[in-house]
Amino acid sequence: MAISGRFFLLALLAVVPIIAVPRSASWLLALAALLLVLAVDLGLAASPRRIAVRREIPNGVRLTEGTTAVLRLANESRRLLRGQVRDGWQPSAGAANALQALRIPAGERAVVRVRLLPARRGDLRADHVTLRSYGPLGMAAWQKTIKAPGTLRVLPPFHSKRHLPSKLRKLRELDGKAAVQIRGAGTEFDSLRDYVRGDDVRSIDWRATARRRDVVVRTWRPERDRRVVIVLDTSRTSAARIGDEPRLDTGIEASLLLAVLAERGGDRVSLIAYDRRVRTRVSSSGKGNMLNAMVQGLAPLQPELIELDAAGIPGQVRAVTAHRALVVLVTPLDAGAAEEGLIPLVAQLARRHVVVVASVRDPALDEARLERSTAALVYRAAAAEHALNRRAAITAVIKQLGAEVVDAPPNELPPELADMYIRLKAAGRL
Amino acid sequence: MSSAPVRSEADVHVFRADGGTRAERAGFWWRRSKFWLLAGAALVAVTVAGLVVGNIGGRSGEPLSMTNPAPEGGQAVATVLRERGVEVTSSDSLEATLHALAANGRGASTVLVYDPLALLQPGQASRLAGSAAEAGAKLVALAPGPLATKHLNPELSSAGTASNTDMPASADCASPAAQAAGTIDATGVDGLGVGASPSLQVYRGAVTCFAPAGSTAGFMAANSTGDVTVLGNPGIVSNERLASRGNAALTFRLLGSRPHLVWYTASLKDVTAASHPPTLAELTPAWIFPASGWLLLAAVIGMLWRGRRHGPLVTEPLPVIVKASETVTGRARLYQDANAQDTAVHILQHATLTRLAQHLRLGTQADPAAVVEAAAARTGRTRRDLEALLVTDVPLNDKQMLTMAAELAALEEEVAQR
Repeated sequence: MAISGRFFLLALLAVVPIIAVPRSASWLLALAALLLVLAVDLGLAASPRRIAVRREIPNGVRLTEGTTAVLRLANESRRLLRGQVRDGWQPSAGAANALQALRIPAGERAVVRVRLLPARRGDLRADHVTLRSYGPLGMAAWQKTIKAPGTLRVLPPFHSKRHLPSKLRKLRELDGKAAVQIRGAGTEFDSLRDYVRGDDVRSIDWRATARRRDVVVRTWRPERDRRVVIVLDTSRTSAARIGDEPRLDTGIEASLLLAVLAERGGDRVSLIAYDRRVRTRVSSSGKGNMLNAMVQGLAPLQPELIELDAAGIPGQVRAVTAHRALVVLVTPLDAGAAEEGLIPLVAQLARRHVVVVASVRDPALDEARLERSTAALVYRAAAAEHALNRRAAITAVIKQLGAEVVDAPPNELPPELADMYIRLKAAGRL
Repeated sequence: MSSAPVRSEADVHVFRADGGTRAERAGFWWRRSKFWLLAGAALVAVTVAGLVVGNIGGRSGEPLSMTNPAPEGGQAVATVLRERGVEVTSSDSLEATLHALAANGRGASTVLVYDPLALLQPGQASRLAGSAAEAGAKLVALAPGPLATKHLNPELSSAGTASNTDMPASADCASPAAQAAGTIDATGVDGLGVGASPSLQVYRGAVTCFAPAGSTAGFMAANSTGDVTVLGNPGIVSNERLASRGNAALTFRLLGSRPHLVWYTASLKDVTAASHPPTLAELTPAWIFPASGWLLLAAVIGMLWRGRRHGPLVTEPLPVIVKASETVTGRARLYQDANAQDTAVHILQHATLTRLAQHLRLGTQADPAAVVEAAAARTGRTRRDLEALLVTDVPLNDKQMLTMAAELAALEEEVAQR
């Protein structure tokens, strides 16, 4: 049950007769009149129990993009429903008009569109729909909350998409598809073609030239159909916030860019989100849109407050591919966790695979180490230097083990990881 | 707005309000709110029972009330007198007392006057005395004030107060009632009179009895006819002390000699209208109380209107948010709290050496001496200065540490620029 502002006004107005005839009888009479109005209005209101609710929620929406969720209400009672409907979305779904006025004649239907602007990645819930049905006087209403669960999957924003064209161009240059005046990079023999002016003389195939009357050059292309395995660390260290976003979100951005790039480059990409168990596994070997499968898989990931089980990662990589692969570990390089887990892991993986460790570097450290104007800031600079030093030491150890390290601030990590991939591909190390 | 694909109509579930028939819903509602309903009912029951038990038999908490069984009450006297055939009536106003006197008939009444708050005006005291004399009634006043004493009977006068003693006061007078009692208590009872340990009144009259040692005034005084008696110690009538010494004998002889006893305790009803300022209720218009009561009700309605939510809240699972640089801040605080200038500078020196080695292309494992040498050659500073700054110097206070930190930064910049 609920009452309206009109009923409140009526109650206020009733003070006039009470002032005019200040007796307890008029007091009781006014009270009786109010109760009568309440009873009549409630008696004539349509029952919100006789409303059927259907939900239509879009399959997915990117973070920072708006969308519309639809509620279809059918009035199955024999009275006109006047009232309000509220769609119970969780706050971060950003429902702008969750509360709407409603008027559905008996036996008819209505559509309520709720505009959503999600503020967080992941699965956002709508729990219920609350209906309020006023009587003809608009004084009092029945209220009923109907359980109507629904989920909106908010996908990662993939801001690093903007780096994709330039990285793809680089990849095509490697491939020899683009018109560039360099010898096609790569190690896999592609074809022979006639020499054109400007070609590198070192790529002339003298044997073929001798057979033909023209000068012939060899072209090369990078290897294709290599395996790329991205291991995304979702353990407690991924919850730390660097810049505006947690490490995990930066890792997702970098993974998406690398995956799209590698797939265009003709390689087969697998992604594993792992802490102590597999949170998501997506492989491009299956049919269908790899990018879509990946964002759908990555969307509900949240940092888990447990320690990374580094010993379990080689088994997961083996489960994805039995062959030599490029293994990209997206994990922090911080001291402590790294010394115990990361270094033995890299040592083990580097024996079979090409390993790249991609880590988000905290720009706050680089700023803090240069701030030396007060004693407190000098201590802070020393602490920052200490952290950077430990990081450099771990990086050095990992490089000694034959792995590569990409250590970059949040907004530079995705393109630098993509560059690393292109560099490895050009060098034929995949 | 995105035009993401929408799930097809077929797999959209239809949601309806739960609960079937009215009876089922009522049952569900009862099960859900059973505890609170039962708890509320129990609370109401206990409160009502407490009130009923507390007020059973029309008990009163007033001192020397004839329905008060507490130590300072007067129920014992009233009950005993009733059992002996005296008709005891209670009165809380002068008008009612006079009315009862007139109704009882001539020479048939005793009036007990108790006025602990001194509410009776001298005029009212004279009026009571006059009416009592007219009706031939006996008047027994318990601890009246000096003015009231004078107006009850001009032969009587107040002689101030006497202190509490454990010694009994003996009669020593011609009053037969006093002689029958022999001795009475000279101790007050808590809750009677003014203050926690009230002082006792003493009086003089045509007959003065129960004088404390060394005093000419007594706890009891009567006029020459014996119709008007004043008692200075109201405690002798109380439940607590009635059985002590000759208290009971005195009390019953004074109060039980006539067939009717009017037990008159002065109350606010005796205060005449003219003697107090007009109350707030008399100054305000008649509508103000009903109207403000109604507005209070309207305020409650307004709260119900604004306070009713459109359905329950939907919870938001909040993620853990930790800034990654927190550990660095913590370590810096540790250095600062420990005054570890040497450690801090050592770390800065080490970091600068590492970076200089990179700039000067000496490799990561370069010896500090080699770095100092190369830096000296690059910058033109002396080797000794650089060695002191980069390797050997240890700061002793914050100021030295600040200087060294700034110099290290400057050196790095200098090497990087050349």
